[in-house]
Amino acid sequence: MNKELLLTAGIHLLVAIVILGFILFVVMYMIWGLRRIMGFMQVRIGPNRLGWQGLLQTPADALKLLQKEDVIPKGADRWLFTIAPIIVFVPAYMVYVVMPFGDGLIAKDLNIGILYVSAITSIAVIGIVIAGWASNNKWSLLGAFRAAAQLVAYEVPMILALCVPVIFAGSLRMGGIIEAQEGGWFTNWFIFRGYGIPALAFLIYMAAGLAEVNHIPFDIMEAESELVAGFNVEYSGMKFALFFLEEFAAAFTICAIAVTLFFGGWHAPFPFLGENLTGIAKMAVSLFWFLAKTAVFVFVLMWIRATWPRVRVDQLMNFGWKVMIPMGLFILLAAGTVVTLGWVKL
Amino acid sequence: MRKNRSLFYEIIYTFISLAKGMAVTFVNMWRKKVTLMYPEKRWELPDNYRGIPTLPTDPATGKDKCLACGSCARVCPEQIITIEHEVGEDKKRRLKEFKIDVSRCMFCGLCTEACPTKGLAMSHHYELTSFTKEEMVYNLEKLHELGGQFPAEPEPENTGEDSDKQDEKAVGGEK
Repeated sequence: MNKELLLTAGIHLLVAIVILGFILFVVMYMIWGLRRIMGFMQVRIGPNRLGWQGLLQTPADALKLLQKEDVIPKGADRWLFTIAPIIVFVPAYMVYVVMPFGDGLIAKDLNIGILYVSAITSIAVIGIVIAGWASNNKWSLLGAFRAAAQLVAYEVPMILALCVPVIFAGSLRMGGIIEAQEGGWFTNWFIFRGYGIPALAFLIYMAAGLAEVNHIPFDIMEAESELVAGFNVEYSGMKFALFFLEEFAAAFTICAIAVTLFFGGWHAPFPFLGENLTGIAKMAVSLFWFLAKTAVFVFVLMWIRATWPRVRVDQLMNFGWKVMIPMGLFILLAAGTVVTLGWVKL
Repeated sequence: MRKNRSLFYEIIYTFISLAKGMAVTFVNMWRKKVTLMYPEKRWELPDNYRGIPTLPTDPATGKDKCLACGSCARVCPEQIITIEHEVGEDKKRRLKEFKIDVSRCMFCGLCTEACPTKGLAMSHHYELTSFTKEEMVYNLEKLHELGGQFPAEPEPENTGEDSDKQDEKAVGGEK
């Protein structure tokens, strides 16, 4: 009995370490990819010296950050200042519990998967507010205020948009939502079904998701040109690295959730591309499709980052309250109507 | 944007312009990059590029063309050129030492214009950093080395330009 308990704990610990390693790896190469892609779009080259095509640049930067002096400003609330990066990072890590990487590659397929994701990801903003407050710096505090206002404006449309695939699938479970998009062909993905309602939901989800992870058109909480760096002005060394890690891990999460809910999760676009396999081969192929689809969205995020300007605070709030929430309510109503009247084959 | 546009027009126009912006960045992604991988690849310098003034040597005699007249030292606005000369047995002035304090040179090129034999020429050498201030004072040997050689058949009008090309090769070979 005791041995079994120990074994279970060991396996869970192993899974946790594997996921942490996966996050670190993905974030490192997302940062590298961001620098390269943005460089290419700005007709530059980007980092290409250290390692083949600059692949070792980010690990080297991470090592450098580890060695940096850990500055805690005078007048800062030491305790809050120290735990803020942890409060920000841990939720971004915890989301990966329900991340369906592939067929059977899910740490815990919770029956409230989507609810868990949206609940956990909004904890991060508490860490951001704490960081802004504890820094004892006016830029940080302004960034924190903006973060709080932004969260209130964007959490609602995001959850309204998330409800649409849930209604279509009839399940909050990640696995259940992916099963509902089964069938082999990409036409079974939610984005191509339901008279375009999920497509609209997807757009709202992505817009709200960009706001949620402080991505470019909505990164008013760290707006470099106005607030220096927003809530993380005073952070340096490893604490700053944790904020950075969280930002990219959350961006990956947004893309992965979008893939899961609207683009068929780990299903291949065509049946002959690995739908008929079983066992380990199926796992590997489904992992490949999940990562490939997510990579496309990560690229789009970087593309957006290299292109669009930042919106003003009042524009952001107007857009959130006056456009996104009414649209979210509308698509929720439409999805409910369509499903209740049986107009879509489920 | 013109006035009196409806709200819907503005919303649609916003999305169109966002898409246009995305298209611009995507097209630019495939363009030839403007960044030059510097130490491996170098700029193609124009012939009249002004690096530091140097003393190229004549391949026929292996000597420079300096008469030690001191015109360059007199005309130099920064007064950074020092010339020492000696008088040989044949009663001719010969160059003994020629120093340029590169740390203060402003690359105006007046010294090369003042030179009666065009023996002093602007080179293509632009990597002037050093660890000490003393290294920035280039002596005769260094100026010969950086200057390279005049072309085999020197023409008085454009020796400076031709020697520049020679310099570039000499500098490249040195690396």
